[in-house]
Amino acid sequence: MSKDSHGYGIYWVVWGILLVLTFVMIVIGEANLGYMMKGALLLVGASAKAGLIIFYFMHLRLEKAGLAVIVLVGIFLTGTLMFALPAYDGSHVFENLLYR
Amino acid sequence: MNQGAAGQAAESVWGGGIAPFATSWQKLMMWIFIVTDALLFAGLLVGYGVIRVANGSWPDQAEVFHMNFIALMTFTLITSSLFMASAVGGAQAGRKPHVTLYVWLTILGGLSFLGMQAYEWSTVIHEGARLTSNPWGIPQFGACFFIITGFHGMHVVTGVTILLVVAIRSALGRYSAEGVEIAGLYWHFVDLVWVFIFAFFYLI
Repeated sequence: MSKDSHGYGIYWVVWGILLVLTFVMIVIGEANLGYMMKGALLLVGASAKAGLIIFYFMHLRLEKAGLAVIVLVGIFLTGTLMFALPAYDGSHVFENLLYR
Repeated sequence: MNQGAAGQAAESVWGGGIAPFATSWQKLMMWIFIVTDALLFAGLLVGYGVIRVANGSWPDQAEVFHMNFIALMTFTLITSSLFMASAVGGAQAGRKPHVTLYVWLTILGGLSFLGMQAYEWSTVIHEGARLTSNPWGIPQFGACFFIITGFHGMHVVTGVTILLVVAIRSALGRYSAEGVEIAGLYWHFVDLVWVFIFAFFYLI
């Protein structure tokens, strides 16, 4: 941990951005959009919030790049794969239901 | 026995001579735990996603939950994360009263969140929701709700417990800046998980 993390101001700024993003996501959630569009927008919003929390609150930006790679690849690549593989199967189930 | 240069290098690594990524083992292990724990929640959300897609329809969350109340829960958790970040900053600057105050504020935020979740659960249970059935049509809705928010709630309970240990140690003058930081990593992770639960269980 380097010494330049002692200012508290940045935490309030990040907190404010997180609240604004939360509000925007609630508006998106209640908007009259398709499921795919809503899902994509909410995924962008949630990822932005996650990035702010990980890099600023958890100080990952101050750690060695190797640790950041482990965390980001570990969580986001594996998480994406976990979603992508069953989503393909799940969409077929969905289509079968639609055309039954 | 002649170990050679490679043997000596290995000995110095495992003897603690080199810290991976210039972090302590405690902090590194917390990060690795966070990665694995994130995948636990990813698994739960994948299971929920498959169930939801396979069902074709899903109860309207606005009919089941009070969305303003859920937004208040989210606000509470994000704000407690702000307090925690401030406590970690104070610990690194060596300001003990600041650490004590903000760790207690974080605990207060966590307890408020748990209180609101207990209220939410009791409301939903009172309306007839169970693990296997609920009044809103899709039987698996109750299972998804109780298991996902229950796992998250248990993580909040754990986080509050860890923070109570930090607060007591801080009162005794036995805290370390790194100890506060590692407790903070866990707390922010609990907030991080809620971001995804809020987006994909409550909002969509």
